[in-house]
This record gives sequence, C-alpha cells and structure tokens, in this order.
Amino acid sequence: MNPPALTTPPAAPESSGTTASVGAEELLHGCRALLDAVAAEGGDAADVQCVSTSVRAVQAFADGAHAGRQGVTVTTGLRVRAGEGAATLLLGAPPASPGDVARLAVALARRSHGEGDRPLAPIGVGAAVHPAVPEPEAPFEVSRRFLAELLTPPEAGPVALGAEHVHTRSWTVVADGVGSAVAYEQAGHHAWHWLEGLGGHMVDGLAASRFDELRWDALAARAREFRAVHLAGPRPLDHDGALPVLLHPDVAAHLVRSLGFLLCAGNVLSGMRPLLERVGRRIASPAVTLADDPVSPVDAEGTPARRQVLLERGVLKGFLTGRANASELGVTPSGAARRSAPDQPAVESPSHISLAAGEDSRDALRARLGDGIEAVGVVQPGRIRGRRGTFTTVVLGWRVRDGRRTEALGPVRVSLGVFELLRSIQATADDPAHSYLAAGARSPSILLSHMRTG
Amino acid sequence: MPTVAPLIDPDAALRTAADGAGPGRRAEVFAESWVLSRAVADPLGLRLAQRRREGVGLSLVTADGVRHRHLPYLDADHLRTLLAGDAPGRPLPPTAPADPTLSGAAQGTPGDAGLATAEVLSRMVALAADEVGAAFPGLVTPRVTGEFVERATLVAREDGLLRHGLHRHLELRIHATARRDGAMARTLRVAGAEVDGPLGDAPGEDAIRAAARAAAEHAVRDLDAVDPPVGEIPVVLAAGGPGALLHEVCGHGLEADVALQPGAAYGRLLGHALSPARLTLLDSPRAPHGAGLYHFDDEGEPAGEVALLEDGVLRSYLHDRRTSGAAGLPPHGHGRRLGYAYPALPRMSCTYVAPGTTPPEEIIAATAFGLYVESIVSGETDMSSGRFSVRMTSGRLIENGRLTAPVREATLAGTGLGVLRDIDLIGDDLRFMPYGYQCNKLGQFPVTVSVGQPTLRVARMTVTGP
Repeated sequence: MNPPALTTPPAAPESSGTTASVGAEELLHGCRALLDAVAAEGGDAADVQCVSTSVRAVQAFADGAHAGRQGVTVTTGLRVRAGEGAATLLLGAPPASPGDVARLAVALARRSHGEGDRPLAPIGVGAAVHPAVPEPEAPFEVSRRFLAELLTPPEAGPVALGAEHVHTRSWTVVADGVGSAVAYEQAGHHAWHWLEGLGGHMVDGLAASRFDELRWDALAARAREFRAVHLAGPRPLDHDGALPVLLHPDVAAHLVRSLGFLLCAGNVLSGMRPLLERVGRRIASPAVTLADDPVSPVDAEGTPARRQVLLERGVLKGFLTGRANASELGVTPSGAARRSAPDQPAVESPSHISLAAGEDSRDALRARLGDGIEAVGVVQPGRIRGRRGTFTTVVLGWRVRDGRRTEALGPVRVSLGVFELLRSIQATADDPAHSYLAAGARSPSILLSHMRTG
Repeated sequence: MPTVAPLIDPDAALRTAADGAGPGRRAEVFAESWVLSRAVADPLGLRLAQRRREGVGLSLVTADGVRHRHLPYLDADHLRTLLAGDAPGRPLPPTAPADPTLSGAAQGTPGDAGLATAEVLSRMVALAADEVGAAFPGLVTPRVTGEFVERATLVAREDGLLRHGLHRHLELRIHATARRDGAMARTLRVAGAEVDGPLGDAPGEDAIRAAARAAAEHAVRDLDAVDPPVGEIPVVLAAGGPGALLHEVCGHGLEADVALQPGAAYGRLLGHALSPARLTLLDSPRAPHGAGLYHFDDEGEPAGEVALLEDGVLRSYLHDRRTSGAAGLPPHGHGRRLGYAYPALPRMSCTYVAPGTTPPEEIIAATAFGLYVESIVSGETDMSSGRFSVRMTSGRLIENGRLTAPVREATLAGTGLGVLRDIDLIGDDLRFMPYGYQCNKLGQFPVTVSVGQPTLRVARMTVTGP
C-alpha cells in the first residue's frame, strides 16, 4: 500500500491560534504507515481514525479562583480484521515505528472471534486535506472578563458557581487500507456556567464555531429567566391532563436532537420499519422542517457529508444514512456515520441538526398559547423513551393564562408520543439558537397544541 | 505497589518544576501512561481491544487558581516548552517526538505483554459468561466486559518531591438479561479489585463465578418485579454498592473546592453534628478488600484516610494541595486528575461508612414497610446545595419486616443533609464495591472510585418512578 497523493485546497491565511495541533500531513503519514504495517503483519482489512485536538480552556469560580488548561491531545483509533476476528486499539499519536502496534493489533484480532460491531470497508474517497477557516485567538483576558460577568452575583436568586470557556481546534484523519485518506480541521467554542437552583444545579452554555458568535447576552438572559423561576420557589402544576406548551429553544433542542436519532436509518431498520413506507408522506405538521447539515467534509466512513432534509413542511423526505444502511435502503449515503471515539464503530447520528425557524416572535407564540405552560429551562433533558416512543422531559417555566405569564412553575414533567408530538407542533418562532447541552442541535421556540403533564 | 521505571527523566522534571515556581506559585510536573486492555464476551463472540494515552502536563498553582499546560507525549526534551506557557497565549510545539507511543506502563515488549493480558482477560470473561448462561439455560444471556487498567504516573514538584509508580486494577462488569413470555429484566454485577500480583489471581475464580450466578439469579427474579412504592418512605440500603448514594449525597459537597463556595450546603458546618445516628464517613485511597485506588495522589501526596464525619460530627473536607494550603491544613492525598491534560481537583477515592452494631436482619425486621435498595448505578447531585437524585436498578419491597417482591427501577431524591439527619440504623456488615462507580466533576469524567457501606436505614426518603 502506498501513501496516497494529497489534494490540498488553496492555502488559507495562517491561523493565529495559540496552540498548534499536530500537522495534518504528519498525521496522514503516520496513519498510512500504521496501515502499511498492519498489511505487512497479515491483517485482512484495517481502518484508522486519528484526531489531534488543541484545547485552550479558562475556568472561573465564584470564590475568585480560576484555572487555565492549554495543550494538545492526540488519539488514534485502529480497527483491524484478521482471520475470523476483529480488534481495536486506541493509541496516542500515530507511532513513528508502528510495527509493534500492528503486530499486537493483528494478534488480538486473530484471538477474537464472532461478529465485530461493524464491517470494515474501504472509505472510497481520494486523499484530501481540508483546513478550517482561520480565526484570531480571543485574548485570555477577554474570555476571562466574560466569565467574570457571568459570575457577578445577582441582586437576588442563585449565583453562578463557576464558568468556563473552551476553544478547540482539531484535525481528524480518516484512512483505510486501500489507499484512501482524508484530513479535515474543525474549530469550536463552548462557554458554560452552572447555577444552583430548583431541581438541582442547572448547567447552561453556548456553542459556536467562532468566538464572536458566542451569544454571551443570551446566556445571561437565560440565567435571569432561571433565577426568576427559582425565586418563586417550587410550584406543582395545578392541572391534570394535557395542556398547550411553549418550549424555549434550549428545551426544544433536546427534542430536535432526539428526532435526529429517531430518523437515523439504523434505528428505522431495526425497529421503525413502518416509517420506510411513509417517505414522501406527511408525518408531521406543516410547521416542521428538519434538516441535518454537517460541517465536516466527510463522515467517519469517508463519505462526503451533505445536507439531508429529513422533514420538509411535515413530509418525510429521508433518513440519516451511513454506507451499509444506505445500501440496504437503496439510497446514496448521506454521510452521517460518526464515531463516539476513534476506536469505536461508526454509527449514524445527527451532526448539526436544525429545525427551521418561523416568522412569529416568542411573545406572539405565547399569546397564541392561551392557557398552558411556557418551558424555559431543563431539569431533565428530554429524550424518546420506551416502546411507544414517548418524548419526556422535566422542565421549569411559567404557567400561562390568557397568553400571559401568571406564576412560576416546576419542576414539571411533560411528555407525548413522538409521532403525536410531531403532528402537534403548531408553529416555530423566529429565535433559533444553537444548544450547548443538546450538542449540535439548533432550534427555535416551539408551540405545541398539547403535551401530557405529570 | 508494582515497580516501574520513571516515565521521563526525573532530573529534567524536577528542574522544570523548580523553574516554573515563583513567589506564591507552586509547580508540578505530572506525567502519565495509561493502558486499558478490554475483553468483551457475549452471544456474538469475543472481542479484544486496547486503549492507551500518555503525556505530560505542568500545573502552576497560586492562591487564585491553577494554570495547566500539557503535551501528548512523554519526552523530557520538550518539558521546558511547557514553561513558555507561563504567559497566556504562547504557542506549544506542534509535533510529537520520534517514537512517542509504546512506552510507559507496559514497558518491555508491548506486544507480548498486551497479548498475555488479553489471554487472561479472555479467560475471565468467558468464565463469567459461561456461568451466567449455565445458570438458567435458554432463559438468561450474558454480556461480560473485562477491563484491566495499568496507570503509571510521575510527579515532580518545586519542593524537590519526586514520586513515581504503577497502579493496576481490574473491573469485570457482568450483565445478565432474562427473557420470559415477553417480559425482560436486566441486572449488572461488578467484580473489581486492585491488582498487586498476577492479573490471573484477581479477583479469583470463585468470586467471578459468584458474581455471575448472582447476576443471573437476580435477572430471573426481576422478571416478576412490581412497580416501586412511591412517596416518602423508609429506605434500607443494602451493604456494598448502594454506598454510591453516600458518594452523591455527601461526598461531592464535602470536596473543599465545593464546600467553600458561597452558599454551599456544607459550608461553615465543621464541628456541627449532622447525623444523630453518629455515622462515621471515611474516604480512603487505601481502603481494604481490593478497593484501594492509589498509593500517592496526582500531586504526589501520600494517600491518606480522611474522617469526614466522625460519630456524626463533620470533621473535615476533602482537600487537594491548593485548598489545603488555603485552609492552612496539611494535604492528605485527594488531588486527582482525569489524566495528564487536566489540573488536579479535590476528589473522592473510596468513600465508605464505618460499620455500626445492628445486624442487617434486625434492620429489615424493624421496618414495617419500605424499599430495600440493592443496586444504584447512576446519580447526580447539585454539588453546592446537596440536592441529589439517584437511580435504583435493583431492589425489593419490605413488608411486615420481611423482604418480599422484587421491584422495578426507581429514583431516590433528597438532600445530603436530610439523608444524614434521617439515617437511623447502621448495620454491622460493612462491604465494599471496588472500582464499581465512575465519577464526574467539572468535566473530568470518568474518574473511577470505590464505595462501601454496611446496611443503612434512612427513616424517610422520596421515592419516585424511573
């Protein structure tokens, strides 16, 4: 096996990041050498995913202490098939002398037996390098100042106990044993804080690909909402049965992410086959347009990633697919195969999934809500559970009557069967936001005609 | 403690720490090599894997906080580049040295050592899986994961202290799934232990068979489980694994960085009586019965046992070097890190309750109605206020002083101070669950802990459905 020629896009301006990650071409070379060594040891098939991440984190605490963390980590996942078995190794940086590693991997694979988690298959793309758009590093004191503002004690209500800003830049290399390889760079900013409050501490945060996209003001506004509910004390709901519900973006994002997992091909093929017959038909209200739009150029199998519309005005358009399930469905893979770690099997999952925003403001949706619940914060993140596919979450919020907030509410459990829920979405607001906790999800506020309470 | 050569040149590490220190600033070099070998046996077959990480970090510690920089390889030549980060914003070197990978804990011939470990793990998981399957043929299916962790560390400090060593532990997670007439029940038993000698001797064939049989028997028993009772009721916590409740309820709130935050639940309570039943709560990295976690902590301090509560009175918080220094106390070996890329934090090790005098059968007989908790697998706590919720996965009803029907999953909730106040009976049957629980704090997850306790009765606790 020979290292593939690299196709590099036009050179981008030099990044001014403070911590350089291991270079892409160096990683590619290391991965190729590892795969060559596996072949030399008699491995039948192999693939490797390597992620080099530079991280720069600043933490601040209510007692005035702070912590900074800066550095580079590299993880390399090697999956090998030999004889009737398969084995995985997770290493640090690709070794400069990979023979020992390859020998161990092949020997472990030969001692294993039975079906591996996923078959190994060629990734099927030419070699390429995709750098990210460079970004000036925010000065240490700037991020620390934002964090300090989050920690400023309010006049009343729970204080923020700690806050953190993390900037990561990572190179991911995906390579296989038949000569294909791709490397791409990603950047991310996360900022979060945690507050003491009803139902336990509440973690909230921001996620963005650039520092100047972090909406610190929005995070502070959500903290004010949370404090206001907290100050009113725990209040049970004075109602049995179903009520209309308005979900704020950070509550709704968990629903959006759950819908992404629901509409993964593997999930559909294993337990939701009736959905296969519903493609092209309406399964949700016309207010629902849901799409996944990955930011990485390829997925974990090397398939070019592309935008996949899942629901368009309520009509089911398709599923998130990796190569194996796409083949079974007879469609082109959407590039949705991802790994939870470099040595884990690739499975379909949403990446950057978003629910389309509407035109009305949140205030307008509250007015339409009439008599119901406005959920502003999450105590237990929502997810789809059980054989019946019920979406359940525990929230804090407000009781709304005649379109106006009347008293604080919660923690209160709201739930509904997911397909009934999809039909119950009346409108989305014009306030979409990326979620920190529901990683990769972006949602506006959602107005539902009803959810079960209690 | 098994011996191991230093991961990096000790002199270079000590020089770096000395140069990183300054007025009011301590410095620690922390190097780590971590190797996890894994075997999984289930009806699909046997799968083997290995995970490694290694690197070195430098923590600069002042009264105001910590700055930590790290590199993903073990190489003394690059240590001094970490000092360049004393000023924020300076770059770290981008590339690894020549051959960074297979050094560290499994020094020697890595391939041979890895294969030998794989062979032993394979035998263990196969033994457990066979035992589960044979207990109720056709009714119960096993999934057994065996993980053997070798963690070598080196700490070099500005005060000239140098420690290095190797710690090893084994964890077998035995899952059993029973199916009958459309009903299904799952159970989990953990058999873990610190490993000082040959891997094959721990935890021992008899212990593996016993844990596997218990997993199978409980899975079959739980096919007939009923819904849990709900409301505020007496809860009896079985000896051993349910000690995870005390980890969540008290442990995090007693970590000094948490306890000293404004408004913290356990702040300003040192010397106060919190447990009328005179409960004694300890945290010891050198706990007995295989539950020991380390000999020195990730800041080089010897592992010490701390009495958090003594006869019901709050005596101490858990400290790392920074918080102990701020409190004017000697450190006691509870500074732990997820890995080389993280600064140390005050963390629990093996948190356990000292035994009392009441036999467990008397505790059950003294309870007219309640919930008997056998297993807690996860929980979360508001570290400041002490509010918590934990998930019970295995338990039974107590009716008229007797254990009766198995119950389905339930959630236990309350506050730490409330639980301490309401514990009214302490058993004489202390048991440990070594390496059975994984802890999260400030994003450093998972850090493995052990727990232990005798049978405990909490006179009233809120129980809800799953």
